Amino acid sequence: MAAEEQGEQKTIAFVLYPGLTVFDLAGPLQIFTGLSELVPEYRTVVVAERVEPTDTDIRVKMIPTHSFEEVPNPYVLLVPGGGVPTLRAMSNEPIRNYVRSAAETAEVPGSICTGALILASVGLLEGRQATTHWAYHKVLEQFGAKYVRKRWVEDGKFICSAGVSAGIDMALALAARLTDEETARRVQRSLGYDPHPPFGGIDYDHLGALAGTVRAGLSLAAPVIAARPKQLTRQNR
Amino acid sequence: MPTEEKKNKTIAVVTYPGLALLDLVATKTVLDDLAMATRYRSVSVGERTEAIASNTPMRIIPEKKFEEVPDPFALVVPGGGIASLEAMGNDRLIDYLRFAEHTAEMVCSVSTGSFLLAAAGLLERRRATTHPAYAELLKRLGVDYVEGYSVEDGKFLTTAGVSGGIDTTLELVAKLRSEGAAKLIQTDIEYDPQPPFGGLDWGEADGDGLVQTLEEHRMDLEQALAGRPDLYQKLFG
Repeated sequence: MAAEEQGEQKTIAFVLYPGLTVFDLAGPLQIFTGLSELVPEYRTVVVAERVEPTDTDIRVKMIPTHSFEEVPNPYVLLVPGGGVPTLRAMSNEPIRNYVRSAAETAEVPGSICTGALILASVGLLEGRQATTHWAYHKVLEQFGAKYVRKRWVEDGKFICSAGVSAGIDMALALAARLTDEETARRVQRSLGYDPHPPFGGIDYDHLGALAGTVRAGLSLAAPVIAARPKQLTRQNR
Repeated sequence: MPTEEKKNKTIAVVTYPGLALLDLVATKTVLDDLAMATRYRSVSVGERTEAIASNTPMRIIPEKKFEEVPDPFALVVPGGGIASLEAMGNDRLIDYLRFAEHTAEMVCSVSTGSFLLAAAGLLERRRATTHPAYAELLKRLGVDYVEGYSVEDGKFLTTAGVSGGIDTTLELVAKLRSEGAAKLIQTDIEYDPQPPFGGLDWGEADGDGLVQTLEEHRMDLEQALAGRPDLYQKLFG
């Protein structure tokens, strides 16, 4: 039935799980919702283990549109990140199973922020170039990925963005890859995405001094929570 | 007796059906970072704590009802395009803005959120801005529209909101705390925007497009603004 509903449409699926950084999801979701409105060939959905109100990092509950079973073969699969809840999701079987199988058949599997750790934890990024939130790059490398500090990184069919807001830029680039630059620009215009950081950009050469940020603090706990990365990547293969 | 909101310096983020998901999510994420080591607390408020639509397929559930947060320290109104115009006819929402404004020391809007402030009569004789595509409409409501990314007039900070509220909230943080705090949060959410095809040229923003959009939604707006014929008449001139 799911296949019938999908018809000829290509599905862009975002994974939702309890406690995630919903900003990771919201930016690209806006882009692909805009794309779906312009190009009906694409439909955008949010999938979770169950279709029910799901807690997020900002305490606003969000309701996914479909369950994992209802969208087994999305064309694009995007996995958002988070702090401790993401590290927990890495050993959650239903999430691991869905990400592994959907990524296998997806034309474009990808991640935003620490969502890359979930892809990596099921062994999908071994030996690949990838990126994640700057504070988590060592954790990503523990799973065998080659960390590249860029806004977004493509390797084979995989695409990963840096932290949180980087997902918006990656989504626009991906929208252009799926359609064309002209269409991606129209999506950007319809959303009115024209960022002007009031105090300039980020000084990546002096991140050490900024280790006191929320996500940097959490990343220190990562090796404890996501223990034994090698074991995780080999589990249930 | 000072209420909990006052002690904690609550920042109420107002929700309504059809609002822009990213405006809500980015604002709350930045404010949650501010909450670390300060007494600022962000809370999403709505007519009911029930699921409402966003401008994406994902529905949201606000944390508190309007009456549960009667005297916030600050108010933030996200945008939503046509949904913002429709929400101008929502008495409960407009009454809440009028009431909460009395005690609020700062009142901010993202994008078309300024239409709700205008509908509540809060922008009379004030300079304000909105999403560039909606400039003409805001003028029709009698607001002294000023072109710009952000416009401050007294305790009112209205913004074009062309980055889903990220720029707006970073500015708010700088005002409440410091520019250093805003930069730290910016690093945490990795906000170093690199739109793959550059920014937008608002010089191209065409008024015809807006007139057409307005006509397409004429019936919906007529219904939504049934209780506010004054606003309906001004919008459609």
